[in-house]
Amino acid sequence: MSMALALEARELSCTLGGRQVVETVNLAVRPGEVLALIGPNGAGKTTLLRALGRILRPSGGVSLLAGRPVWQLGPRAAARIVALAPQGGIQSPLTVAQLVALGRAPSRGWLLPLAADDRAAVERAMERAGVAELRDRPLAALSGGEQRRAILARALAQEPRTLLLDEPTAALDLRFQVAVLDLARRLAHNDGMAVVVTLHDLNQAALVADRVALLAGGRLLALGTPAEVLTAGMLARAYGVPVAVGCHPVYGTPLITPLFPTHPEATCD
Amino acid sequence: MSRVWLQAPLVWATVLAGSLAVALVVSLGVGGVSLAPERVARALLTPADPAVRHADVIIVWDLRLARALLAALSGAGLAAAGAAFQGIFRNTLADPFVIGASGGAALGATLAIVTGAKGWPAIPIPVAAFAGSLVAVMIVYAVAQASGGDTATALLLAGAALSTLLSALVSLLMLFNGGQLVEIFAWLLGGFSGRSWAHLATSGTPLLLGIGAIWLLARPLDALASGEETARSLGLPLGRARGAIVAAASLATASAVAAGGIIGFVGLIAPHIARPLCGASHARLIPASALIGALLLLVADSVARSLIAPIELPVGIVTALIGGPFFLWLLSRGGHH
Repeated sequence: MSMALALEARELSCTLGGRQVVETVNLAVRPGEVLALIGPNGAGKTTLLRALGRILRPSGGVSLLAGRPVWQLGPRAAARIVALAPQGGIQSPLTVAQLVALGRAPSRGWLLPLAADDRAAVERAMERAGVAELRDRPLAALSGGEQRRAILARALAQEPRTLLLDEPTAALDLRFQVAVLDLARRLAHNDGMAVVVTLHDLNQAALVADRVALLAGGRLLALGTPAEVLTAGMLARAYGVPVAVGCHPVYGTPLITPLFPTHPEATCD
Repeated sequence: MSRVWLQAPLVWATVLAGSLAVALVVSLGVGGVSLAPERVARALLTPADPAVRHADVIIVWDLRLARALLAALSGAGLAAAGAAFQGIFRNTLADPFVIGASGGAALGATLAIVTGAKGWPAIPIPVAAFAGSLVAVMIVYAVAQASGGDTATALLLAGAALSTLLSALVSLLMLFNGGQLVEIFAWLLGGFSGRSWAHLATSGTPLLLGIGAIWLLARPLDALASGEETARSLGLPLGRARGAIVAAASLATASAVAAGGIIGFVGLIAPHIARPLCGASHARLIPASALIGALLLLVADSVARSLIAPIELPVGIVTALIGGPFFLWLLSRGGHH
């Protein structure tokens, strides 16, 4: 049964600097599914993602990749199964193409030269992340959004079965927000990848996710379809802000509007 | 922008290798007896030809070639090690001596000179320097590991602290052994005076091994230079990768120090000259830096031998005199980016 799961967390707990940041989280992601991790700042989204990706060793519980405990896999073996695109920019002296080529190291090995199929995978990854035209530009010369896409391309070049995206739409303009979220859906639904994505924009979560996990204070508050989790009561409880939840005019997904304590009268008709 | 054509690997590799060959021929002609380049070339390429003067062959093959090759190889080793340390510390001001290699070598050599003068069993100075260098690096590495993090910062701090301690010990030894001051100084300032094929045989192999190992580790270096987060995400075993790179770079550094003493600036500058030509990817940066380092030290050694001949200057002074202003010029025009 658990072999069918791409990713699983069982009673997973993490501490950072002695503080409990993730507390006994249980969740599972199937191949072909997009799971959005949402929650207020400091909820433990990034820490959970890093533990799932074998970057951070949990203080309790286990996380499994394709049915195997991740810490029983070596770092390279894990990086062939799971790829994490961390949040923020990157400080690297490399060009875009050189960074993306590093994504082949887990499968090709760290010492061997890349082969033709590696080069093809690098090309595909750059095309998909929309950085093919930037290939020879140094990362230092890119904007924040371009760097984010280069990092995404590096993760795609690993050709993982599970893709972990930490705030992939931060710093992106509207066009690339759509492109990246659409790519996440296609990778899951067409290619059968399991995609876990942390998002601050709840409407993006409603549009992209098959299921949503709501974290607050390190605990999993709710896990279910967007319609089940993105309710006014649940969100008010997690974020401490009243919200109105309507229906998306085109997609019929939840449409979330935060309610301001002091807001001028409505001006649209 | 006008130099874009130089950035094709085949072009810069050919230009650098060609320059190195020219510098070698010129260098072999410089000295007490100066030889024109064509005489050097003929003695070098066709020593058995009866038309070539026997004296030329002896000067080139027996007196100068081993020294020139050792200088070039040491320059290559220092430059490759410099590029490696700049990569793992993500700091283009790092040099081959950043984690205590020079302090350890200095103490080792000084101890050998001092104890030798007291009639203790003689330890060859290069051996003592090599051992001192490796021991210092191992102490720094062990301290950094024990500090809990496999962070580059711990290595840098431990290196700085140990270097200060070691240089104080060297000063102390010099203070109480005034009779050996000149010999110690000559060694600390670096130079290839009197180096022969035997020296090349002992130092050349570990130098080549070190440079080769650094080049082999080019991709882990790329990952580490792109930050710990990137390297971790790619499943690079950070501790082992850093350990292997430090070991390879230290082998190259210690071998270069054993061959020619403590020679500054080559390892710092060569990667800075290489980057605008070949980019920052270590698969190209390492060989380009090595070629440039070889060229720099070969030229510096020729200058050291000829500037106020027949007196020979310590090559470390020449590299600092040329390298210092050059580096300042490079910085002022933003060449460090």
